[in-house]
Amino acid sequence: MDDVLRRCRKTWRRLGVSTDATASMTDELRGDLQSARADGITAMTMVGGDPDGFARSWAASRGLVRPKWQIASTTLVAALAMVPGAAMMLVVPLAVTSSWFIEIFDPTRAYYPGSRAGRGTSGTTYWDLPM
Amino acid sequence: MTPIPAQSSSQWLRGVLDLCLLAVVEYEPAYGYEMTTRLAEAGLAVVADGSIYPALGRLERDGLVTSFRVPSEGGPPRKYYEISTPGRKALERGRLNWAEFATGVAGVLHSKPASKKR
Repeated sequence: MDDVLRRCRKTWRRLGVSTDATASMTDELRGDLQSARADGITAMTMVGGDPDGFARSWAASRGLVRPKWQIASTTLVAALAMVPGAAMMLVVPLAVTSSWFIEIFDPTRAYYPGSRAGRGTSGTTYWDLPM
Repeated sequence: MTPIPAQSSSQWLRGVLDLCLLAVVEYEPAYGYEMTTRLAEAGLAVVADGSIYPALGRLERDGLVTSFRVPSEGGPPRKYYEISTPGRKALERGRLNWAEFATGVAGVLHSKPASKKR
């Protein structure tokens, strides 16, 4: 019985069925499967031997299945939303340790016009201040 | 002659399953498995294949049945279905349509060859 319920839940999740609706259908099915078991009917028989098809058909009949294009567009938007964050995570550590970054964003310029920042051979940053 | 497949009755029932479910809950609410057993008692034992759940989903989505939950002992709350006012009207219409359809089918199935006039 648990295997049938697990496969149904997996199908509903894949189809984009909401958490509430999944919980509701799972509860309903569990109750009925328990009653059927008491009458000697297996869970697999109750779902026609095809838990995935059964779950899909039930969710579709209730209008709970999101169209494929909607699932795909949601995934695309989520992926695109992650791009700036991923880029920042990649660029920032690289930039702050690069000498060109220090050249461009030299904080001492405001205070010491004409100063230059650079990186020594040992890797330490040096500041060439105008005297 | 090709024998009629054993699943024919299941296929026939599929066309009127929604109507049968409405009839099952016409006088008292029932939960899913209970409906299966009531249909089985009426000789329609072919519905133990999960097909009633999509049918109930359609009926509820179309407002022909409503549902409510009742706490059960040792398990999750039971979801009961009851017929709505539009459901009763649909059932009445369906009965008339079915009677007409069944009469038509019976007429064809039991028709005798017409005597040929020369």
